[in-house]
Amino acid sequence: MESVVPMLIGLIAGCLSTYSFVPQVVKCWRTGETAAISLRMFAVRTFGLLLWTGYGLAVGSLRPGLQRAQPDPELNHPRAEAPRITCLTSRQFLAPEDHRNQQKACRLHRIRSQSMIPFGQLEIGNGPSVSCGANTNPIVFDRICKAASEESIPCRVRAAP
Amino acid sequence: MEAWWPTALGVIAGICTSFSFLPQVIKAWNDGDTEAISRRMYLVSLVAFGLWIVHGLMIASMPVVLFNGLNLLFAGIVLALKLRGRGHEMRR
Repeated sequence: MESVVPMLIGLIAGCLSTYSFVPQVVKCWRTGETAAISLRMFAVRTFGLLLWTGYGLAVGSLRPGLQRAQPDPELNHPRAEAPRITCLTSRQFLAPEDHRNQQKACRLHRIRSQSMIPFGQLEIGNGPSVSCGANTNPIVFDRICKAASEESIPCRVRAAP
Repeated sequence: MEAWWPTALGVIAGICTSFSFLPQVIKAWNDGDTEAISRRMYLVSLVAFGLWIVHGLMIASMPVVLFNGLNLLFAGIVLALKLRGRGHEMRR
């Protein structure tokens, strides 16, 4: 669990920086003397701390990079990834002009983007084509792609929607 | 695409909290008046800011690292002035 360490450090840091604020509060509370405290500066600081709270919430709940730090064992299973990959690749191969999706699919499968071909456009002489689709085993597909790229075997990816 | 607004929020928050600290630094610097400043509080603050920087680096948060670095600098200046002031008094 690598996410525990930064959280622990953050908690200790938070406790200390809040604790360093306590003497001021205690003094004001006891003596009722606040003449030495600048109202404007305290207002700015309070506003800033409010914004930090918003920042903390936004970073903790919205940034995908941080969510990925705590993997869900259920989602780690290769099978759980299959429907997403299949959807993406099928859509990409059917619409080859969509370059962003193409790049995404390539990254997901660790294959070169040049080796992708649009649906139905198989040319002879460019190596075997590997199917990817709802009825393809995603693990076998991944292993074929990996083996092909490791051994430098020219192969194309074909969608079987 | 990663959202840009949490970082913007963090930067504004940092400007508000760090620069509300500045008058204290200026006062201590100009007047040399550090009588009312608690040494223990500033020592704890320094440790806290240091830990915040480590935390910020671990979660890869630019605003947290940047503004706690700034806070560390400000608190360091105030504490240095406080300790120096005490030294003068002891010599006297």
